[in-house]
Amino acid sequence: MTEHVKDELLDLIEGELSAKRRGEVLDHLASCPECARERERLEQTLALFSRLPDPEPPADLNRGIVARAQKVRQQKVWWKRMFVPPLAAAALAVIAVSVATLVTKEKTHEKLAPEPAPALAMKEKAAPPRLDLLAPELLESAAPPGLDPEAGEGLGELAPAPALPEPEEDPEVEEPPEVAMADESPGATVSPVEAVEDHDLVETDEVLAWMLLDEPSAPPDPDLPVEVALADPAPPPPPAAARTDAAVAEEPAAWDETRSKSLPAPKVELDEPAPTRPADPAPPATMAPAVEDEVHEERTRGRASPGRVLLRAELTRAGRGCDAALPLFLEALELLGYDDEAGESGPAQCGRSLDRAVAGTAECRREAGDEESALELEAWHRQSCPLR
Amino acid sequence: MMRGVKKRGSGPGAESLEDLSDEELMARFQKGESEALNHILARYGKPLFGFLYRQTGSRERAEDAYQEVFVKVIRAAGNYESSSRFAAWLFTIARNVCIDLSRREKHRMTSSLDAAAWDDAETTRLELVADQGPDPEADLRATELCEALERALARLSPEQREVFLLRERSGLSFKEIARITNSPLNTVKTRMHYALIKLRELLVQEGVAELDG
Repeated sequence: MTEHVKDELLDLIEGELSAKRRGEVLDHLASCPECARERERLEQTLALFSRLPDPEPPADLNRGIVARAQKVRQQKVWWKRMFVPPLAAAALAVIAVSVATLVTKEKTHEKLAPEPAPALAMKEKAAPPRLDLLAPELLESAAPPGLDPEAGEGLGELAPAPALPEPEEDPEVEEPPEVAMADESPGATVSPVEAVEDHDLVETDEVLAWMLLDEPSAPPDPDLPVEVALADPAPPPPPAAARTDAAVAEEPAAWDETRSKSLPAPKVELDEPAPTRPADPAPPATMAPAVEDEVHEERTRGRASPGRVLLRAELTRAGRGCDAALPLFLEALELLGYDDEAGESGPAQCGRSLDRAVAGTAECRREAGDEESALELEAWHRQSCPLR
Repeated sequence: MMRGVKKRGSGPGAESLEDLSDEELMARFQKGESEALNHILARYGKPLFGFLYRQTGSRERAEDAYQEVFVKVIRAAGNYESSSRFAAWLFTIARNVCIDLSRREKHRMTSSLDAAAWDDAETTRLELVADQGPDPEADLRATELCEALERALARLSPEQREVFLLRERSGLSFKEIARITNSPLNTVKTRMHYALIKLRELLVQEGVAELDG
């Protein structure tokens, strides 16, 4: 009986016993000095800790959080007013062109080339959005995979994947993409679908626009573009022969910067065969095994590879600005072996990636007004970094 | 401690944000009233920061986590349902951020912290008690007590400390803690019980005068 009551002392103290049981336990305590003593000890300990004050969060943190909330709110309004209607219009245009193209192709196939044409048509339908057209600035900041093994890992996967919306179009600008979340409770975003479902800005019209225009156009979750990029096994750009556009057919290489600058971005969605994606925004279902394994491994390890983090940093900077990208640049630096605290470098992984991570971090610091810290980092990198 | 903070008389005519419950504040925030977030921060800033500080073992990491938690709160605000208690929702996010942080940084939580590792938090603890009164001796005693309490907390197992902090510092019920930690209710209570026993032992070892052995 004594042991049993000891087990219930905590409930008694915390007021979690039923009235009846509480009475019984109190009766027992009146006649059992040992249990009464134990109760006193527990209460003493709790009382001591109730005197321990909580540390105050820095006031500037709170101000920053409120400012961020206001900014998100303003951008949400801006997004809805300025971006969604044109998106919907573009979606309708894409659908119309898509239907017309498909009908024309069907007729052409029947008349002229029944065998190879369906395959080509399928390829065109599945052709991923071209990053060079949608976001050429990303290509300028990201190196070709062949030049940078670390970044190449991420770029190779991301090149054919959906691009981020224009900076102003992104309704949420602050949150760096999450590397991995272990839990499915609130605060943990794992899959693109969850990211969409969890997002407060995903409203009916925006989801509709996204579904109609395929991934690149819209999921307005800041995490989503990267998550989709990681999860969606979008095929590499189809061979030039498979494209109908003559200009595209002459494309010398996927990373041809000159070409990406020369083509007008706004035309891309009408020039490209319209996506015929069904209304099912569930990229994980189509995740290729290799990518799936890699993502799983990343999550298991709890962090991403340096190249991937660096690419995320660059995408974030392009889409949401330096403020949001800085933590990712710092994470990339850390992964690359540069210890910001000690000013030492760990095992070299890739000098070029480090160069870009340092440059990105310095730029972010500079934009945040911390010129001194940016200069210090650059000076260290120039003079002392053993990787150079 | 957050107990009692939950509901603040939201009867008819209670228009001031100050009078609203946490859940009502979140509803206002969802509707675009940014000022509501200020009130949420005023209510939960300290207990949340305290939780993060003690779970991460570092003020710097706590600041990072604190920002991350509220970024997630802002982002997920539209998804919050006022039928669930705000405090439980908030600390669920906080717990996940801590887990994520520890994985990202490969930082073992404060279970590995010894007294020396808390040296960097010395200033914080001194700040905590600096305004407790004009009596230097009392201040010193309070400082020493706070340090002893923090050291004892740091020596709990992560699971015990988590339950203790969520219950005693954040005011969550055992049922809520069980849901948040995905643990059986009895496990949560057992952890809490053993946490108290261990804390007492540690404080007795430290010679805390308020405990009579």
